[in-house]
Amino acid sequence: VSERRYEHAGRETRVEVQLDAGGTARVRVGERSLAARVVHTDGPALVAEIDGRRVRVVTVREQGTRLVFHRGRVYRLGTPAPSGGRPAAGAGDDGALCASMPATLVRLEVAVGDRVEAGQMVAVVEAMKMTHDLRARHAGRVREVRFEVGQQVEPGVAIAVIAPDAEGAEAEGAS
Amino acid sequence: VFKKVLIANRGEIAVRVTRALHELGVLAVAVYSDADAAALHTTVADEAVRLGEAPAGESYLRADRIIEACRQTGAEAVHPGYGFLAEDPAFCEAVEAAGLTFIGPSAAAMRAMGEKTRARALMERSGVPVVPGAPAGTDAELLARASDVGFPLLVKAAAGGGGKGMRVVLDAPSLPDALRQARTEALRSFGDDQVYLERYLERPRHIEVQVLGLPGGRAVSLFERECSVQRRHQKVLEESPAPGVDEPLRGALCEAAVRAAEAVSYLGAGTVEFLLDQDGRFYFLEMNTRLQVEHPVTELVLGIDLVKAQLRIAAGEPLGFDPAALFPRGHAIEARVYAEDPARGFAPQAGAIHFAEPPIGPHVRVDAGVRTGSEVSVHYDPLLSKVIAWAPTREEAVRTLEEALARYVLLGPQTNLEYLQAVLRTPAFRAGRTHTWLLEEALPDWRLPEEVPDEVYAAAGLADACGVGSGPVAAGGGGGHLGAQGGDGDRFSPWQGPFALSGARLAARGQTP
Repeated sequence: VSERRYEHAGRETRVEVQLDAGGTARVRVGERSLAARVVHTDGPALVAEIDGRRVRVVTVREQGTRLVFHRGRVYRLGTPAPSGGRPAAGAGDDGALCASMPATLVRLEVAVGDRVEAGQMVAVVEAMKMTHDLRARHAGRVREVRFEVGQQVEPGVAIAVIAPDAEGAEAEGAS
Repeated sequence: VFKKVLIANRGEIAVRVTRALHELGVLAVAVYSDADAAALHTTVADEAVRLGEAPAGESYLRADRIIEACRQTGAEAVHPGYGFLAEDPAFCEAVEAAGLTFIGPSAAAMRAMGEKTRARALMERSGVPVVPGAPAGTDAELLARASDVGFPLLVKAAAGGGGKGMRVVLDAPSLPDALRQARTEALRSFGDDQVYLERYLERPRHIEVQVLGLPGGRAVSLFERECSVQRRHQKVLEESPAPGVDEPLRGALCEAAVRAAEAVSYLGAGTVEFLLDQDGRFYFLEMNTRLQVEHPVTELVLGIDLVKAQLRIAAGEPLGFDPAALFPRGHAIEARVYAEDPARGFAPQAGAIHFAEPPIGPHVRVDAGVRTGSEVSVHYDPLLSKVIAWAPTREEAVRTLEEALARYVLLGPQTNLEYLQAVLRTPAFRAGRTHTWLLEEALPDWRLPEEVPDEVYAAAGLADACGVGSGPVAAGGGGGHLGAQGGDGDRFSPWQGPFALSGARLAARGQTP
């Protein structure tokens, strides 16, 4: 039996798959039990009979996210954090400021050790001729600056890290 | 025609022009920036020349390096595509000064149409209707001219922009107050209180006419396209014929477009854009002196190839068809597929295309600039491809396009494919009630639905249990192996095979024009 948890729009769903020898499977999605059979696979495409109906998906994994194409839509199913409570991406604020897409760092307003207030401009990145401001989500002190102006930055990779003030100030947190 | 042509562009249009060149037995030279070294357009061409670093200013906008690439490869002519240098008269002149052929209009025609106030004056003199207006003047002068302009009208700041100092005036009695307010605001914002009047068009439609300028100064019209469905001035859907345009109006639009093109002795393919008001009056907006993104809808309803027509006109050869004998047959609609995230204000997205499977079928055409393994770069326009559907009727063409979009697999950066399907389903679009505010009115704050069907979770679970789609990324992904934490440790990647095959096929095609 293989068990996985997927995270989508802040909700977590547990999926259990029990594969039998003949290509048939018992699948549990949350509380619902479904009879399934893999009919065909061809590269990233998978055709299955699920609960008596043919389902064709095309699917790849992109790091922790499974992209699933199904009937004109692409679902991005994330991997929840191991603790179970919160999704891995975007939640628990570690003070890291990242670009949301590959971009060029065009301005840095802080240096290591600087104090910043919540909402203060930290850096500006540029992607596809548009600039995006990265602002501190909470007050604190700049613990790290990992890039220089002119460098390429990747989504999810911290440009700077703001260590939050010890007490109290954290409440302003998530944006 | 020519023996060898260089395409000074990238993405889907470079691929599309290469196809036309190969069909005519002409060799194609691609150019590329460092970000595009392995891009689709470079692999379908017969030769590819590096221009420079990723930013367009260091590569696709470097006229000197493009002309040098022609010398180096022996290309006799340059096809500029759209965007980049396509409407730059200095580039056109530099190409011609180097003894090469520029596939497009003359630099003089580009200049005449490029300067909007000059173009407007020229159109008025040539008998092409322009939006009625009154030039900046005193209050007394403007009040006297207001009834000629017609209500509702706009008071606009002469030095202005961005809506500052602009007032919509519904009737004559409210004009004096509006003038006073607009002047105060204009003075405060721009240090200049000059204002002028322009007719306000309520929910206008954007209709454009494809023209071909022939040697000798004559031009012919290839009928209209309706491109009203726009988001922030970016076209989203384009179709031909335009719904609601009857024969007399079509004739008048085409005649005006031909007059506009002939006024500048236009050569080759060009487009004259008009705004159509709700009473069926139309006004010249601008002329695009190049091939348009949406040219395929005209090709599908007329059964011609506009790029081949451009090449033949530039080479001084006959068109191969009689433009006077053409008439639109059936209906064609195009949807532009962008790497953009509707949930984040349609911000452009970048990243690897892990898998691409365009829809195919009778009367479904996909002009794509990406394939499996392509990288979508932050440096250029995020247009990935265009899907164009044809059917005998508009209703059927809409359904064919909707179904084609629903079959289009693009796994990688977020695209607008779901949004496009939602646009096609709006009652206003279905009914052909298009205007430039349609998207704001019919789909405000559109978001992807949040529910995930159980069968999608079940299929994801099965895929993870069987290791489907868990292998390394196909190509060009910066060497990174994705999915190491997925697939239950299963490393097999059954889809390397099909990709390698299609890659080989594309490369082989490029060598046998």
